[in-house]
Amino acid sequence: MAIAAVVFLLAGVGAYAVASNVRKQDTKYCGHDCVPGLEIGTVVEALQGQGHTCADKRRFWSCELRIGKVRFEADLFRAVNVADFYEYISKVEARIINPDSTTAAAGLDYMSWFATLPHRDDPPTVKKVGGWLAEQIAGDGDIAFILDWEYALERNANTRSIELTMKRRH
Amino acid sequence: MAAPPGWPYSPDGRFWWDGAAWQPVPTPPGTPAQQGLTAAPPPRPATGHPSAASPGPQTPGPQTPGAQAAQPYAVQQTPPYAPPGTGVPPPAPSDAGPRPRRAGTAVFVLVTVGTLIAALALGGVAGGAVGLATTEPVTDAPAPSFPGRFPTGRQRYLPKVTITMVAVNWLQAANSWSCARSAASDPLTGAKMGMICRPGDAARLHMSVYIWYDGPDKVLSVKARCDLGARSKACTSLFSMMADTLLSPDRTLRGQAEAWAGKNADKAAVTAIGGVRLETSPRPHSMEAVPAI
Repeated sequence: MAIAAVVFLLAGVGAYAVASNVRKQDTKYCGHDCVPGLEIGTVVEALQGQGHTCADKRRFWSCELRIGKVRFEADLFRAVNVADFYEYISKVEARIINPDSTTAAAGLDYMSWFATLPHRDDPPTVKKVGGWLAEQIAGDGDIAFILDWEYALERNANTRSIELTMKRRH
Repeated sequence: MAAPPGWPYSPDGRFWWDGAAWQPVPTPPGTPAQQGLTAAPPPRPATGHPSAASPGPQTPGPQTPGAQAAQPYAVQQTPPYAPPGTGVPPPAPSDAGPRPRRAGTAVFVLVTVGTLIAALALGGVAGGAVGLATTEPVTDAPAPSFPGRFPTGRQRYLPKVTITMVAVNWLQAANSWSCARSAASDPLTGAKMGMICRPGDAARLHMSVYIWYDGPDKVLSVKARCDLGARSKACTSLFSMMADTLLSPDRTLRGQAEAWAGKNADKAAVTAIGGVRLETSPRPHSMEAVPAI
């Protein structure tokens, strides 16, 4: 009986540790419309910490940084259609205005940071998204579907800009 | 022959063992031969002295022929009993004893293992349930770390370039230019303030330097414009001196920047030297310096 009690306790403690750890790593599910477990405010504060200027436009937060002629802009849209998840990100539009050959590396790092937000705990998917982005930034742009997220990279000659749109795939 | 006390009897009580062979037990007068069967049969001795294994009054049995006769009496070992004439060998005595002990051990092992498995399963289920119930999922995780080339606010300004370095030391002191400040912001770079400098002589209509900045040591952009025509030495000199001034904190790079500007003054070219991005343009004839990303 004593051995059975010890086994019971050890199994209980072990299972508790595993379940608790799994629970902590789990991000709060927010339907089909947002980046789970990451509030807009947290992302905005992180960008402000990098020197970006952000403003609340009600439907979305807009952050930008200008370096010389190059402008890095990101609009973080709220999940207005999902109750209790208003302050979560449903869509991201990240654009670089006036990019050139010398801004390619910074542009890729800028866009990949936003593009990998939903997959931040999934290194293989992060790598996959980064590879697709690098290919599209060097090329003409395309659309891809990666793990329920839709990615579209568009190059606009008139506005001399490239824009990434990331949203949940329905 | 009557059996002496202490010697073993056959199960049916009709024979007794004399140490060498089974001997018939004489039937008392008036008693049927099967009477001994109604009494408790003597236990079958396994090993050892027959007298110790089956004490008390017993009935004799028949003599077993063959090998039993050759066994020395001193051994006093009772052979397996077989009624005379059947020829069926009795079961080995060694098989009869351990059987109950083995069964008991198996039951004990089964119960123990079952109990341990049940404890393991119950403990796991209970611990897991408590862990899931008492731990909240992550509702707001920290933002991911930024990649190495992610653009930051520190990159907005020309490294180590100050207003004094450009407007005062280069243009005003060395070339007698005059500068005027502007409170208007620059829509292109987002700079809060601007300053325009021009030569003091007649060239003031054809040459200018714009400086956009947020503070004395926060210069975002410097742009020189020269409308004296292509291949004008004055324009080439202006661009070269501007590159030399902006890279002056680094003695190695300032010469490199000056040489590049002199060589590309009349072309459309771009380069990055020491964190400064230099770009020349023939129309309008100009050279602009912004931070390199």
